[in-house]
Amino acid sequence: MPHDHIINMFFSTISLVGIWFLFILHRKYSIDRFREEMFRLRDEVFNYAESGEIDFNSQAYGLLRTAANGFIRFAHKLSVLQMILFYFSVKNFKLIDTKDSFDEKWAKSLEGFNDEKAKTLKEYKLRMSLLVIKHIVFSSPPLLLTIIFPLITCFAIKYALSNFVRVLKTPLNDINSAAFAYGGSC
Amino acid sequence: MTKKSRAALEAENKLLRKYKVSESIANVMNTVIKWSALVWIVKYGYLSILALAGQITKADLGVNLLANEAFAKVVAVIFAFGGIGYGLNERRLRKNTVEGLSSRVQELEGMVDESRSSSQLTPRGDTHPKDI
Repeated sequence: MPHDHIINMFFSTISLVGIWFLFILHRKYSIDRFREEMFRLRDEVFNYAESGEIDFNSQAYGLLRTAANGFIRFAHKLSVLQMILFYFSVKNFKLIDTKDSFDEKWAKSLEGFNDEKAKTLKEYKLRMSLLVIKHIVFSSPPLLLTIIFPLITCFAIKYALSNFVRVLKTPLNDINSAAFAYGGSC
Repeated sequence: MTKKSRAALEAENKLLRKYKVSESIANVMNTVIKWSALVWIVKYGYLSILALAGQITKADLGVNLLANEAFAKVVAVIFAFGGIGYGLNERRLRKNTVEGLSSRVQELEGMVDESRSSSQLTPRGDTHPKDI
């Protein structure tokens, strides 16, 4: 076997092991980032309650804080694979009493608040859900490689092309005008 | 708090068990995928040593791929940029954490010590622009 092939094999192997290790580090980083973002959101909700807008003992505050704590604690268990498996295993499953579901409790907890406060609280909950979705998607190397990177590349190319066309718009317009003028004079 | 009925508790228990089962399956699958990838890489690393010793030829598809110059360059570039990206993201996360904690530390310490002095770093822990 040629010498350069052996060198290539050596570097390929080292790089592949490195990439494999990066995937593991990426997952750990994603968990840290998710926890950091969730801590920040929890702090914001705390500050909102501290400002006197809502009571620390209100059910809505309790639900938001408890859910945030749960996500922070079990961030390492949130993954695409588990979400898919869990979704299919409970697809046709019904809790006997629907008032035990989080959504029912949440809806009930907002009843005592005026529209503005309820809207703010709903925004906090929405942001929490978005953080979870973002974490699940971005912490998965297969999803990153097969969906996110191609999508970002696609948008980047589209953006670059549209800018390129905009830059060329004036010269193109001049050329078109000249062509039109020549065509008209024939 | 109202006491849950037996049926409601059983339903809740069933839901938790389903969650646990899906979690266990996901854990097993994740572990299998993660470690089999490393085994695959190590296997071909080993085969490349055998090739070096002249015991096998590079007819094997995997060895052939690893020996390909373009492939070696692509994976090296991915590794390098991945490492740089990872480092930069970690740094940004650390600064976010500093930013998040510093304001609270400042506020709480200020309550205890009114004449508290400051390092004059920025909220994200960078050198103050005036000090550069």
